[in-house]
Amino acid sequence: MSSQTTNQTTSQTDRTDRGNRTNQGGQTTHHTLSILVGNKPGTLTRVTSLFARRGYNIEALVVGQTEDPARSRITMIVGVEGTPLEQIIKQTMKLINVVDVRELPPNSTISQELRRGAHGTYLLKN
Amino acid sequence: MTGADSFVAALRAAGVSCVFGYPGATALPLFDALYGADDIRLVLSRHEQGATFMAGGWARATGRTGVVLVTSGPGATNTVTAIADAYMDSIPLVVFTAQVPSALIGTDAFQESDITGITLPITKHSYLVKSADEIAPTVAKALYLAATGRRGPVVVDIPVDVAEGIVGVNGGSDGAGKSDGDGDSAARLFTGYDPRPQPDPALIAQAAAALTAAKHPVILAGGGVIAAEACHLLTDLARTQGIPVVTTLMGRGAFPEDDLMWLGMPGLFGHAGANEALSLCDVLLAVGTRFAERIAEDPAAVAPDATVIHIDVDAAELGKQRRADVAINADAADALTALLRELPDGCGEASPDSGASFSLRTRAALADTDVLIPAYVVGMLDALTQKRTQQGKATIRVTEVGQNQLWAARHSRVTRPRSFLTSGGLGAMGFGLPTAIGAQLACPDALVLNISGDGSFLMNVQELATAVAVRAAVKVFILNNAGLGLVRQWQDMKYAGRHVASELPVDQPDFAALATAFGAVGLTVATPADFEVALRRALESDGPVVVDCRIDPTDIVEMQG
Ligand SMILES: Cc1ncc(C[n+]2csc(CCOP(=O)(O)OP(=O)(O)O)c2C)c(N)n1
Ligand SMILES: [Mg+2]
Repeated sequence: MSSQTTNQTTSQTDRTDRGNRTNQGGQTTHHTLSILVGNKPGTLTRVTSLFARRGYNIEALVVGQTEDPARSRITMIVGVEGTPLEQIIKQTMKLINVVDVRELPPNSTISQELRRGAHGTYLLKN
Repeated sequence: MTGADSFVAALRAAGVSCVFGYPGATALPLFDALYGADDIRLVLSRHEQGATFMAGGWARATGRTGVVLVTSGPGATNTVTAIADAYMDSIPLVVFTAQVPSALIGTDAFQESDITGITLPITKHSYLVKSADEIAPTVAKALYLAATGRRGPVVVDIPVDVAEGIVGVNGGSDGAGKSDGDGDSAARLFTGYDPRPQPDPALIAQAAAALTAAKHPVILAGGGVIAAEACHLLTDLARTQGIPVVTTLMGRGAFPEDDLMWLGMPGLFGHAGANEALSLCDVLLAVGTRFAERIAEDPAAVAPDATVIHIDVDAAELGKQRRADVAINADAADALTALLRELPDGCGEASPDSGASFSLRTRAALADTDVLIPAYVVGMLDALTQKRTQQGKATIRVTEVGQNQLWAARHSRVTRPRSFLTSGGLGAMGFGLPTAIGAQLACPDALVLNISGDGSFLMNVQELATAVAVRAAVKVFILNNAGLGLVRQWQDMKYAGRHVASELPVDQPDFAALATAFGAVGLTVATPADFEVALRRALESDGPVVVDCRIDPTDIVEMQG
């Protein structure tokens, strides 16, 4: 399930996943991540604090409860520069409250909404 | 039954036999519930950092989870350094912190600190318990998480009213009975947590093919091999396939270092042969290591021309520092078992060409002078360790941080896992003495030697009182070089020898007198001849002993260029 998703969405980045933050060419690319989490207090903090301390850039973020009240979904756009996306996904998957992480296609409705929202008022811009 | 009673019942159900702690008002219900619990030993430290390092020492020496219980506010914040240490070195630890009453959380109450917030980046996970019913299941979950997958520290914060609350009044179950600490039942509570990913057979086949075709294969073994109890598998593989082994600082003891196939430890402060082997190999089998920047200046370029097979239980370590050609997400035991099955018997022959790297200077040459040098002290303790090993007696060496740590790592042969304990990732001064005490309590029959420094020793010196009180007969050897030696060495190298804030008076305090004041035995030595006498006396004593070894303060740690 989860790990499968990880592999599918990031197989093309496998080769560059070498962790040397500075040799990635400095080009920022944007990815939309959909993170399914347990609906527990502090979970959003765990995710955003992970991103802050590992130096991943959150461009936009929205969070809400899912149909299943035990789960929330965090959808975010990350700006990926030094660190390969695969590494970001794996580190996020390691959080105990995170159930699944997948990358959404850039042309998906939610991605477009989020990107627009990033310039609006109701979403966080990091 | 109160929440505190269910806390103790859950510890007991999980097989916890020792708790290291320090009390305070908000923790009193939890401490009180331990009253008369004969099967759970409570060890009172003299500082919460000491208690937490002791629990870490217990865990490092045995692989079993260390357990800590402290009060709220300052009690909790005092544990932070040792939690960070456990996090960096993947040591299983559960720290129970008391918290102010639930109703006061968020009001800046007396001795309130947001310990789950403070420790968030240095824990595997953490819990703030909201009701008495949740205590027992949370204890089970925390112990399960700490000890599975990539090990690590878990913090459980328990407000005093929750500990005092009655279990079951809210229609909840009787917590203690339900959560029996059984790993499997806890496992079902975590979706998306796979503590034991199974090795992909296709990747194992690729790894086996690469190893079989290799001309100069090398194994790089890290702490993950020890954590997974896979040392015998690694040794089997190295010996049957004739592949020499390099061990990281955390991997020391994963492979018997008296074997000629051991090439040493890589890195600036390691052994030349190990670095050479890494740079020349054509296939590198890296197991349970995170390619820390301590093993090479540029970890992305370790073994530059090699096909790299990387095995780790933590998927995020694969490719984090060094690209892997074959990345196997599994623990060392599962992956090596599969790999051994796939490899033909004895396809290689031992070719330890750089095996001569091990540079223990000969004891006779060193003893022949009046100056006490660190390689001699460490070498003598190593000779003692080897002799005891031949007699079937366990010896555990625990380092501090600084030159003493690097000398210990350089001049010791570690032949068994969990017998060389060191603060690898955090490099925390103050680690040694409490870690040694925890290891000694976990392994009462072992001889525990703490190789210390005059700076580091003072950082948790208060735990000598604990050692005396609980009769933990650790033997401390302070490599007293009248200073923060490693800082000084660095200043000599990079700051034109300006020793700013790195000189310490050699006899202030008088360590032997200090030890005596604590009720331990204290000795001072300045020559090899004195040292041999002191060592004998230390071994004769059945209590803690501190030997202040006045070493040549100009000695430095050799570096690999
Ligand atoms: C808690 C902590 N503070 C500061 C340091 C930085 N530091 C690293 S080695 C060292 C000197 C240690 O002195 P000592 O224990 O006497 O060891 P020596 O290097 O002299 O053997 C210092 C200050 C550290 N590692 N840990
Ligand atoms: Mg010193």
